[in-house]
Amino acid sequence: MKRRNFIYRDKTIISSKVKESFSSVLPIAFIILILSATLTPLDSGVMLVFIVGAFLVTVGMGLFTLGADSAMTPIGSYVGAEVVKSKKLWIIIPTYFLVGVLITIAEPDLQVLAHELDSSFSSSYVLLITVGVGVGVFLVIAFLRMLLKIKLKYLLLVFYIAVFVLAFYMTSIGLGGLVPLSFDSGGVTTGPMSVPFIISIGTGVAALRSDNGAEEDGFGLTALCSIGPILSVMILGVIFRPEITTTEQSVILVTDSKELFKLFGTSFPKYFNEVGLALLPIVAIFFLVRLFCGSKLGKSGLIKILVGLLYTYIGLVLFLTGVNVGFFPVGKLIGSMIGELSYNWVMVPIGALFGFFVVAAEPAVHVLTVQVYEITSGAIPKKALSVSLMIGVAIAVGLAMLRIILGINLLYFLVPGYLIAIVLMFFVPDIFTAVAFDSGGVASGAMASGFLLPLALGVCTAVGGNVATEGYGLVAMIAMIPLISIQILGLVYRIKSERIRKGNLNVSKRKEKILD
Amino acid sequence: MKGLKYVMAITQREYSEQYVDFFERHGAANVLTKLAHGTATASVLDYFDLEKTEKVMISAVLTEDEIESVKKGLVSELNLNAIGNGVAVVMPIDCLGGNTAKEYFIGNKTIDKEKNMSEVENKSVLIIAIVDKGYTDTVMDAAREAGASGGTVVKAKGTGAHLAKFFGVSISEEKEMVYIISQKTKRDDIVYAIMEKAGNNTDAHGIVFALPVDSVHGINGFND
Repeated sequence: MKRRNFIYRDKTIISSKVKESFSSVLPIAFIILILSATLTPLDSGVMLVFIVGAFLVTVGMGLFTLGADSAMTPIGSYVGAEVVKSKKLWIIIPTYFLVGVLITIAEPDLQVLAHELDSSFSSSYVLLITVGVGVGVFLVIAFLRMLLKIKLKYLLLVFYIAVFVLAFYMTSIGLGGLVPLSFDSGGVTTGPMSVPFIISIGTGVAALRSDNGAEEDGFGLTALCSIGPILSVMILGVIFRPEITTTEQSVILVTDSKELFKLFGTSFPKYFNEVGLALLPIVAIFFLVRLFCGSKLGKSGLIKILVGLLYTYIGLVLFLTGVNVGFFPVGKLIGSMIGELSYNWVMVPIGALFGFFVVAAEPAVHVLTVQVYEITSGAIPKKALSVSLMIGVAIAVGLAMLRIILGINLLYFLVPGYLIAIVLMFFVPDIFTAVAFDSGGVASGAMASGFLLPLALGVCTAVGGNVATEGYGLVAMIAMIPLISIQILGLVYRIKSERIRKGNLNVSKRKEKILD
Repeated sequence: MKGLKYVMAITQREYSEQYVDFFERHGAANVLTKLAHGTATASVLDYFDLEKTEKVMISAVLTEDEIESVKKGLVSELNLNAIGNGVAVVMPIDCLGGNTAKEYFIGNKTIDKEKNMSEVENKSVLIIAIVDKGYTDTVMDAAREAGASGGTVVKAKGTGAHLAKFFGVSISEEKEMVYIISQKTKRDDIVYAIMEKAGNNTDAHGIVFALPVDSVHGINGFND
């Protein structure tokens, strides 16, 4: 008789994706439930909005990761590889620049930031376009780096020195308040839409190359692209010298289920437009490349990509609605309630706890870990990467909360932090440096700006701090600490693999014969 | 060479560690893992990405003694007979590049060359088709029509005459390698079908060949 045991039964991919996203949202929901039962009693209306939001985030993230795998990543690597195959610089450079500008302008996260700062610069378009050009230029730089085989660490060194020189110059001329914001925009622009695309452009080019170092070079694009916005916002700040005023987003409270439906009913169309607008340039670029220089994908390949785009679209709409409608008010309320407590230092461990679990719910993180896993053929396991990312962000959020409560200048954290990250670059394998700097931009996505940022702003208002100089900067911290934590993972990896190699050296150097 | 066998197993990615552990427990000194993709069976499911197709290909070299216990363990421990759990093939090894290779694969064990106890069924072959990127579906459609049950894809880079340089960067051709396990009786049909539908005269620019296989495990009814 045949023994049938279904322990190893095959699962469909969608159920595993939803399960994956469920397990990343559940811990956050759980912490919020505990908090609402103890420290921060929440209104039942807020809880209702949050629960619906959490549900939307779960389903949305599941669909998005599915779509990212079947559409965003293939499109990115297709565009990256096909354009390079043309072997004409006058095609490659403008295309990369355009791709950078378009996907950045379309990024929903950046649009939120631009709206918040509407009144600071003459119009939100100025900020959008400047940041877009910043990313475009750096995407071209990242590409030229791959061609000219310049090591990523030297470029990062040069550009971060430039960033800090500018930061100190700004502080000295009284624009210090703009520094946290500049760093934040670096983290924010590389959000759920652009990250999968940028990462897969890199890996697409890497897949095409057969020379040494192709794998390492596949990463680092996001790392360079995160510098673009920092520099461009700083330069914009020096030119415009704006007063920073943020448009206060009020927390909408619902009292009954009718209002709940109304709230989500008005939010859905908004994100449908935003996400549609964000996807449009990516789709356009894909078809243009396919039309002009692309090789065929096959009919089924095309259908898969189109279906994947649909998944991405719906997934991202649900996700962003869930985060911004469901998580935003809860974050802000919890933040301000704990900030008002006499023992508001509890925000430090609570923030760290949130940070630890929130990264796991960040859609772009999923894309990064999968790409790293694929490119290294599993040598860097998904789990090792995500755990070091989680620890990194936990530390980052904890420190950021401490900074807000004590009112310390952001640069006191950023300067030593980046110094450590830059020193580490020279001791870890190149691929870990590239992945680490990539993950800085990746970790600070929609969850960070939709939940952790309002949490921080809530605390900041409650302790009476200056929102512009102290509230912001959280995203900058989240973008920085993973640079250290993942490079430490690389250091451990290097030490371990050197030990193994030493063990293998025992084989004698005698001339060997074929055994047959 | 006698006394050694090459085992290759294909399974879902999440079982990868269990398989590696299994082979190590049965005496392999080094187990190699590479990422692969399955080929979807039904196209509608495939379009909607509802079929799980991320696979790993795990290979190890084992001695004849160990092969017997591995064959049993594949069924009793890894449950290879249940649907969708994976498939394993045992293949002969021709030679090893010196003692370094031997130690790399099986450690310090001695190889008993006289022993050749594992039965060689010799009823199956491993068909490998190498095509341009994106043409796996063409290969699989042809192969299925000719009676193949499934296949696994590994992304590969071609070198050779087509290797082009662009600045310092060498650009290679992107290829896909499709692995199909088949009964020997169906071999000709499948190979001809692939040659015709995805051969060198088509857009797929495919070439196809087959390797001998001692035995196949994990495809229900395959050995009947």
